[in-house]
Amino acid sequence: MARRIAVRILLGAFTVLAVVLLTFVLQYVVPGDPARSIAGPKATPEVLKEIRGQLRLDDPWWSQLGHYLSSVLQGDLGTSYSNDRPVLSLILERLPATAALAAAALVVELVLGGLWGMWEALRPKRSWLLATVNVGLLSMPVFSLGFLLLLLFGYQLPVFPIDGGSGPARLVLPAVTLGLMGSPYYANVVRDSMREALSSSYVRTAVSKGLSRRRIVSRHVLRNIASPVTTLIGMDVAVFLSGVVFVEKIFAWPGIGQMQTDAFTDLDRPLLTGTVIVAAALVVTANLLVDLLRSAIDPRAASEAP
Amino acid sequence: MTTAPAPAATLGSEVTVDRLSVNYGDFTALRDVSLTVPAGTTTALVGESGSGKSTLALAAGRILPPGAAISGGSVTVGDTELTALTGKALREARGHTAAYLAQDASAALNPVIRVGKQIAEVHQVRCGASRAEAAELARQGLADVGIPDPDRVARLYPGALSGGMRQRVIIAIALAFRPQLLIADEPTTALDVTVQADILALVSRLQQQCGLTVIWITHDMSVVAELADHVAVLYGGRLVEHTDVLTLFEGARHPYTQALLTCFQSGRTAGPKQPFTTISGSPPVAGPPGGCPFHPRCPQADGRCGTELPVPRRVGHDHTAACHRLEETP
Amino acid sequence: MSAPQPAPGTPLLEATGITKRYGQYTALDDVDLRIETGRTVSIVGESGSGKSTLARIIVGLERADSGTVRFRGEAIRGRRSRHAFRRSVGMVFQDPYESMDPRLTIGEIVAEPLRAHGMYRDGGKERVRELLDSVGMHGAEPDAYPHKFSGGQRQRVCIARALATDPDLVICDEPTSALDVSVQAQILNLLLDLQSRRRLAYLFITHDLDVVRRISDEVDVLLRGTVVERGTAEQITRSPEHTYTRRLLGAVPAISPRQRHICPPLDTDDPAPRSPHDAKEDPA
Repeated sequence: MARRIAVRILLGAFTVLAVVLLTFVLQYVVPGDPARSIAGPKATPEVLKEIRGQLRLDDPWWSQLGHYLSSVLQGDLGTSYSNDRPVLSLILERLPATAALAAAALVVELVLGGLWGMWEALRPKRSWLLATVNVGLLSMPVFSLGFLLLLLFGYQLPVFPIDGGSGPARLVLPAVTLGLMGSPYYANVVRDSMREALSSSYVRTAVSKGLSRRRIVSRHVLRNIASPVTTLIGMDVAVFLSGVVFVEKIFAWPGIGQMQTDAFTDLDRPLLTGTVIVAAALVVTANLLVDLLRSAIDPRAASEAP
Repeated sequence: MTTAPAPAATLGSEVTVDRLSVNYGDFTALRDVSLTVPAGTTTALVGESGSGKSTLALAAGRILPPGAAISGGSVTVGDTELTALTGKALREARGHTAAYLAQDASAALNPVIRVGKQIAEVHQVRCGASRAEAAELARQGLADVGIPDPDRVARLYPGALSGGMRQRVIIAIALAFRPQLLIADEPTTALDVTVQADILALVSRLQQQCGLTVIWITHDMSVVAELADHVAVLYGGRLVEHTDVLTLFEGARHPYTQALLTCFQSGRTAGPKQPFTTISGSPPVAGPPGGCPFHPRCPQADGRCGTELPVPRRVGHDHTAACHRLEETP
Repeated sequence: MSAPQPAPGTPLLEATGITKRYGQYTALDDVDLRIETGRTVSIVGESGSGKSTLARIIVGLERADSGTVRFRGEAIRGRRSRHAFRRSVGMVFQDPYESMDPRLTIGEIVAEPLRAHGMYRDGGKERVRELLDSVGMHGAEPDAYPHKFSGGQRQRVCIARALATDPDLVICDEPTSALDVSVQAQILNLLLDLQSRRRLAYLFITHDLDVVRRISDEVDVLLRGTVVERGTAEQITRSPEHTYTRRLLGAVPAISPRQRHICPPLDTDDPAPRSPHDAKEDPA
């Protein structure tokens, strides 16, 4: 087990390193002159040249790479062009907001999708209404749902604040948007794995022991579906933490996603690559945690290859 | 130890299956099957795919899958008419009146729950034993089925056990309640031959100790020869022959039983590279044809066999067979 | 086959010193195997004995850690010789339901190896018909899908597929254990018949000792990755020497209720109620 964890950590570290290298390459590929985006359109050639010198933009690529790698390894993700502050602290400032949104959205989709999936699995007949809602949600773009909710509960029935303000109420609409978007995935996974479990031979054994249906579901079925659901949660945590661009933008949520879009429009390369690297690290960590969690829940997962 | 009946105290009960029919939707998997299993004996249900033997086992244990329904007849164990029970009474009969031993032990154990817990659960939930009592009973159960080091095994997950050990755990679960009837659904088919021998020996020992009544489903005539007292042969959802094991092996009357035995015995005795004795054709897949279900494969079939269903008739003491041509066959 | 004619006395297939480890676990330890043209070698063993691993190594589905496999005296090494060798070897698996793609017609299934080896570029329609006929599927439409057929018929289709490239050796991995009793014998007869007509050699992997005795020329008993006993089918089943072989044979249940040896014997002196064998004289 310890060996397995070590291998996973090492693999994760490699993944992050690969992402760092990739972001470096991307800086070359992305069009536009960072010196000009810092200095503004009216800057003189002398000013531009000076900035380029400070940023080592005229150095050969290998020198730039070496400098880049060593500073990233020291936790220095560079300085934002647009507001002249260390990228890492900018990201860490935004992380709590994104984490809060991620946690809230996860609760919504887990509760909604879980109950939905269980209900469908335990019913003998298929519900066409639910199937339609399912496909509808799966195919709806996130911004349409976001705007729809905003329109309904922000303007028509002003239950939740649309903009400004703070506190948990402001979290509701973006979290529900994300949760609604994610819930059909959970519903499908829960429904299918639960149906599979219900028709399994071990559930038949449980029935033949004379256990009640409630106990069979809570003790024998749910533990077996925990593993696929945990995998799904892991993927969602990674996606949510690395910033949910549309939702944060629509609801003006001050998270990483919004910062990312701003960095993109400002051509703020250090900030952009910084968010990508942090996102990669978060994804890797989330995956590792999910893997450990699955091993704890399901002894079969513990014996899988790393 | 007050929560479970003492081993030797319980004796198996007589089991009566009366005109039992089971449907999967429109498909009749089992039709009008009647047989009696005397208390404390073993009856083997023999058949191929589509014979209805597993359906009979699931129906008798009242654990038919959703979609299948008992469409007629009854199963009675001792004083309990199992087929009349519903709700709580049915739940309480399961495992106690009739216990079920599954074929594929690796699938029949919950992969994410420790072995000991899966046995202890029965005592905890059904008899209200405390956690410690139940764990001790589970340990005892594992020891009873010949598992060495039961304390260690109880803490393992099923994935860590060999096939034979899993089957022993399944037996321990089925016997946790000292049931009146044990329904064994080909529990040794997936096992290696040496492990099968161990399990056969174990079950017959336990049967004699507790006076269990056993219904043993199999397709293997040698397993029948080894442990059955009586044999019921099923084909295409019908009972075609029913008698004691010696009469069956030495004086079978139904052409299907005879063919099955010839296949089996010539398989044991014929010389190397000699052709194997066969029954032509294959068992009905989509449901038996009209008339006698065996008639398309029967060497003795005549016109009547294709149209008219033979009913089981008494052909000797404690011996019934369902065939139109019985007068002609010795 | 344009391969040079091997020296007389060279076995069709010879495997020497096959060893395979999975981490700490030794699946096969220095196993030798010889199969002559037109003969049947059976490998008997229980789960975990390594018998399926050996078969997979011989056909090249898995690599051995050490040891060589020679076919007609030539070592099979590298992609080319393996590809050529595969053309001379057919495989029949345990479960006919799992070993064929349900989306292909049985004609396509049988023609698969032909396509893989670039034979019969016209599609080999006649060849497929001929193959289906040779396994007793005379009436079967090549355009039908597997689900239309019974287990025994599907296994016949699998045998036709194994024979498509006209191999000299067919590896049968428990070919009858998923089938109904009355159908098993049909498939075994077909295999025996094909052997005598085509001079096929079989490598037969099974746990059924009755089948082993009747189809094999030679039997290798495998226990935890080593061959513990080797001999003719008669020797192994009638007068086994190794304790394990004896244990295997002793575990086979009785042929008649009068000869029980695993469960307690039938009490034949006491007719009723357990065994009323006097019932035979009882007029109906």
